[in-house]
Amino acid sequence: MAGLGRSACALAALLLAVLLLAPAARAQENLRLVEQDIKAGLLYNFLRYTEWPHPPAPGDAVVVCVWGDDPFEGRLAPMAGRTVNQRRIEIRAVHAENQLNGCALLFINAGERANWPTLRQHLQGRSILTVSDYDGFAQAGGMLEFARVSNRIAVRINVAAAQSADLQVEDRLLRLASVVGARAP
Amino acid sequence: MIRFGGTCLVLAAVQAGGWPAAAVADPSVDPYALSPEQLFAAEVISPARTPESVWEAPAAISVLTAADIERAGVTSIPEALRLAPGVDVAQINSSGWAISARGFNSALANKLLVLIDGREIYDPLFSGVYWDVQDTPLQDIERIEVVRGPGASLWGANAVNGVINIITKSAADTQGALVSATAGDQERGALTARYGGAFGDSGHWRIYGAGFERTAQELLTGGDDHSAWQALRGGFRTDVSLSARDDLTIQGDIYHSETGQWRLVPTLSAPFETLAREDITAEGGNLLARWTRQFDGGGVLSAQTYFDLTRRSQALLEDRRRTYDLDVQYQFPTYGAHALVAGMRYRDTRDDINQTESITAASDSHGEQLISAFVQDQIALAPAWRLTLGSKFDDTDYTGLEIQPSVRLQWMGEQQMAWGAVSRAVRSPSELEREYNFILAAGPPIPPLTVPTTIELAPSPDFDSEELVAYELGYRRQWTPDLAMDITLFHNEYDGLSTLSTRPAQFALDPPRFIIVPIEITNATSAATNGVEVMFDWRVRQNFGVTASYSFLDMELRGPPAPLAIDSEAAEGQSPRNQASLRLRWDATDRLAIDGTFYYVDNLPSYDIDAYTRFDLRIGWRLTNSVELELVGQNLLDNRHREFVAPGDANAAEIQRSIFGRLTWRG
Repeated sequence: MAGLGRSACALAALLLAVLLLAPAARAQENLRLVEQDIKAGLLYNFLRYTEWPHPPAPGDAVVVCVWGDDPFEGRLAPMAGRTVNQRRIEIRAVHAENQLNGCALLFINAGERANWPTLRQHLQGRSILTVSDYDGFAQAGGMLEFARVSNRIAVRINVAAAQSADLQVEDRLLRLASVVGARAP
Repeated sequence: MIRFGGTCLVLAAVQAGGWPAAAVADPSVDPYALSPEQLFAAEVISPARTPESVWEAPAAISVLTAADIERAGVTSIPEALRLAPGVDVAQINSSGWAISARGFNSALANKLLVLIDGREIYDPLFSGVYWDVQDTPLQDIERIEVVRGPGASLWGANAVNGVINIITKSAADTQGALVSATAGDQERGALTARYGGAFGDSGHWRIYGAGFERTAQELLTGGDDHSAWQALRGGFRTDVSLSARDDLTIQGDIYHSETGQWRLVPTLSAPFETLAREDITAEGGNLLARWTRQFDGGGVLSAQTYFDLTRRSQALLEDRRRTYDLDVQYQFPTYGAHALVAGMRYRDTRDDINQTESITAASDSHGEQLISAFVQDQIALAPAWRLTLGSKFDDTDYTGLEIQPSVRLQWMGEQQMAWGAVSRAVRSPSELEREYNFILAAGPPIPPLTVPTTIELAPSPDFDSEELVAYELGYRRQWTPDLAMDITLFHNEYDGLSTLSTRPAQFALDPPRFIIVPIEITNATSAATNGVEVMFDWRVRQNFGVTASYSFLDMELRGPPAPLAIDSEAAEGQSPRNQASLRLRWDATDRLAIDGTFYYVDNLPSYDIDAYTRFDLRIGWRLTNSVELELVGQNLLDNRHREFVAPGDANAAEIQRSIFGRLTWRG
């Protein structure tokens, strides 16, 4: 039993060390998900926590559009079965500006970044929440940008861009995201 | 990729396309049901570590993820293995389990290879696993891969009926603090503490300590079976990216365990046989380093080395062992249709024993060296067809060169896959079988003799490897994103199985005695086994899933009859003919998860053990984002039942109902 006693002391010391170190620790061992699942889940939450000036009529769908190739490897599809504010969600692939009517959210494939300035012109005056995952999207006038920070997904928000499109991103998201550009009054 | 950390190689070569995400790490999580806070806190799984390749593997493989293990509400690795379809887990007492697949279960089961992070944990003394010292904290386990059937072409000897590969989390995935406390009627108390941190941008570390105490089980005749179990364990792991292409892992553990059992101890003087409480003390430590380098052309070189020390002391034997192991393997860049992997391994193991009256050997010290090599080529024959050819070459001191080849052919269709395999595998003799003399029973002199009478197991230097040729067919299908099935058929032919052959009675000196039944281990038994293993996984609703599995096993042994041999066909009655399980997973709310699992295990005629149905229930309640409370009940349907018997274990214990609570804080 002597050996056990010694080990017990070591364990107690370790436990103490853990408790002392703990406050500095980050909350960890959270969920572990594939990157596309995290992004898809966040897109859904963007729909939940953004206010559109003219929400779709009851019975109409909230349309999530993907510009360019769908990078979600099929993980976006299950969102179509869900609802937001009692409206069903529809996923639509779009490749041309004239297909943008009705889009509530537009995800732009990172490979389409070269087309973003032109696309942005077309979106002027429309209340479409724009999202992409290439570095610099929010700086370039996009509204929400996914960024990979260490092994997590972070979001950068260009609040001014959202407000100029008459979109109100709720505080719950703002608190979790980092804000790019000046926050409009 | 590689044997060490990943899905076994047989299974390697993850191709683009093919199977959907059904088998991805945390399948129970619906990303659309998560809050923004949870999503921002979620860790991204790097695809290289996900077991996606499982559905493409031309073998009978299943993976228990960290989520599966947590939701099972278990407190030990053996109990977690009950979740794996087709694995036969039978609890002997508080600290002992008999675990096998596809038959031949025994307290000394020797046809299953078990590894923790690439470290073989079977003991060369008896070619089996001491489960009472395999208590890696479950919170540190990333996944457990269970391969039923021979994995010998990659893993070598003893991977005859299956391979269990336990993989712990990278230090990067266990950052921050975790403290988990358990208390209950059987689980007297358990405490696990872990802390992980980072150095620089490229390195992570963790340390942990854990201890627990469990009560004994109850004897059939009443009273405790002396298997109360307490253990302490601590360890660390660091994972460092030395460069963009080089990764280094260093990890180690130390442990100390105390348990016991009732045992009939034979003695050469009166009263010749005593029923004694035997204390079992085991301790040990290990240190492992693994380096992986990715080359520009696509090749991957891995080198792993470990040092392992164990000491085990019980009334019959004290054994101290040290093992050194070096393993190097190289995954060649894909060349045309070929994906080639090759490796070499060297192992040196030596033990020292303290002989007792009942267990003796010619020498107090035994050493064994193993040199082995393997090569495997996976050939893309056509877009939908793949052929995997491989072989392992082992050179051991006992049996010389052993060649263990396998051929696997697979066809991959739309959301479905079929495969077939033929493999040869061997179980090499253990030290115990080759070197030791056991007095199994002793009695008074038979007049006119004046020396005691015994039944003894003699050393069997001529005992050779047991051999298996296995034929397997498998089919998997993903009917819908929510419904998948997996079925495997196998036919195994064994030859040269260990047989307790009796020899003519003889006198022995030192000490003087009359061996009325001398027993030698021979390779006189052969066997054929046939079986089916089926698994269905159905996510009925977003928050409700069902997994059902069934396995059937028919064993036909042909051994010498009595009195030429003792119970040569007993193995037929030591593994259940039918086994089934049903797992129900329900996310009642965002914070409340309820899981129930039914297990049915058929009777074991050799041990006179009845079939039983077991039900475990776990209620997991996430009180806050960092605190979780679990309430678990095991064996809820009956207050006690027997599952197995250990040889020499004088009294069979009944496994009792267990209720416990566990509080886990992550900061």
